[in-house]
Amino acid sequence: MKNIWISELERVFKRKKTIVGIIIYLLLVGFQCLFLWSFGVGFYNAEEAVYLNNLNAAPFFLRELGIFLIFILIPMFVVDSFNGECSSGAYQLILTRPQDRAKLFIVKWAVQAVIILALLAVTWVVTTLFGNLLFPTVTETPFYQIEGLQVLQAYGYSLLFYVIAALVLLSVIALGGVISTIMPNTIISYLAIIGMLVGAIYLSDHFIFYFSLSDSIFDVLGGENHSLLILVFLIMVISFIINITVWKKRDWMG
Amino acid sequence: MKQLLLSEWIRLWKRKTTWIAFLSIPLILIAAAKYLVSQNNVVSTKLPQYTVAWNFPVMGLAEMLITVFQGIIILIVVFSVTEEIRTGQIRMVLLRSYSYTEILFAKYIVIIGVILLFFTVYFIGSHIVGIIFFPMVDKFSLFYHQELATPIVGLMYNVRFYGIACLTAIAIISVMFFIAVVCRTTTAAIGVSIGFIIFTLGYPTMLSYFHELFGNELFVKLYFTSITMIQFEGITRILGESGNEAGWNYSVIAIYISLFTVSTFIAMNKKDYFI
Repeated sequence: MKNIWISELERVFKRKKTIVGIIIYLLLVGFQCLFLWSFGVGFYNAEEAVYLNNLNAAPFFLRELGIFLIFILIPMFVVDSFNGECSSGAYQLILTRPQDRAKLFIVKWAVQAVIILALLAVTWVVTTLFGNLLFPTVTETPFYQIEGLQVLQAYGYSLLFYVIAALVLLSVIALGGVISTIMPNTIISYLAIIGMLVGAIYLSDHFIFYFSLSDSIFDVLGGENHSLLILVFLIMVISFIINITVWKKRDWMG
Repeated sequence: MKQLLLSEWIRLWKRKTTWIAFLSIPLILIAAAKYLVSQNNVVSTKLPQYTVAWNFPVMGLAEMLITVFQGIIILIVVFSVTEEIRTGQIRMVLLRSYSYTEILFAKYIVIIGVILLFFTVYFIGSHIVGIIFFPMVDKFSLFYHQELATPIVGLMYNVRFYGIACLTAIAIISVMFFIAVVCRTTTAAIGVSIGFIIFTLGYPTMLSYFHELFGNELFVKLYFTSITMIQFEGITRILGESGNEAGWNYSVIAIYISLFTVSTFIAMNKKDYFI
């Protein structure tokens, strides 16, 4: 099992765009820091804004970064991992080893998840530190539809915010994985993922959270949005089941 | 050169994706029509946002121009440039007595041709769908126009609108073509292309926070340095009665086209010919 992990991680980081993508993401985090610092104001949604302080700063960073993660970084990583390797034929070399295909698949999935979760964790730590360094210090802060959270409660809130964001991102990985597995080549997979994420809005307004990640999570924590968690959970589970079934039954020689 | 263009044209139509893109036009039009029918219930009949048979070609294009059309341009450009270069298929053509520059130039022309054809089919289709779904009124209002328009004036307006939309599409093709030549993998090419679209939609919004800092005139100019914003709002402003911003918007489009075609030319001359 350990060797499968090493092999998968090596292949992911051998692709130059993984490193470049992560560096660009970190640069964007820095840029977002500058942006929020120069304004001192964060937005709950298009209408409502709030002054930032050391306790409430962290969640507001995902407002713009979420778009980059959901529409650019994750599809790029997932398509390369789930489709690029297979359609180029390189993955046949892995499959010649006597390993269970389901196990290979789960590790592949887990590696993608770990990278994204690590990025989110780094973002949370950096932005919390940043908030404490540069924004005015307060002892209690309001959040969207919530009044007066103490220091620890406020950190709990922002941590919970990032956990929900992580769940949404995991559902993008799951959805992207199943689309990439079914589609014949990388170009079509990529555009199909984007088409799916955008097209879902025409299906129902509940899917808006892929576009407005942070706004929707504020709604969830403010008690105004009850569908997000259920939808994200369903998308993740259904995609994962379809994906693992297709992966095991697939004709790899084609 | 004629032979080369012909061969690129045939190769483009050999792909299923090109056919699927064209066959999806009726679906896109019906989806847009359904959405606009539901919008009509909440919009006053006097506003230019109210859709009638004669302005449906414009109303149905506005939203699709920055989503579906952009997607189809990315799809076609990446398939015929990045994919062919990186998998080495292009070597088959390079064996003949054509230079790398000539081949890519032929591709550029052919892609523009396909997109123009796509616009033409969409234009005709949207008139048919418009007549089926929407009321055929005698007079209706246009964006940034005081007087009401007759169907004939509306048709002329639509033709001009589609003409400018084609120009912006050529600018987008130039950008995507540059990205497709430079990027080493297809996923990177699509990622950067989508990043470009999101960026050009995003920075004008960010600029609007500084609206007062710049003053109105400079702000409008900066706002319309973004090609997607020209597609989204600029075209109706160009065709407005005052037409103040027409000159600026046309020059931005011209700069995009020339800047990115020249960059593509420089980039591909620095590349290894023996891929």
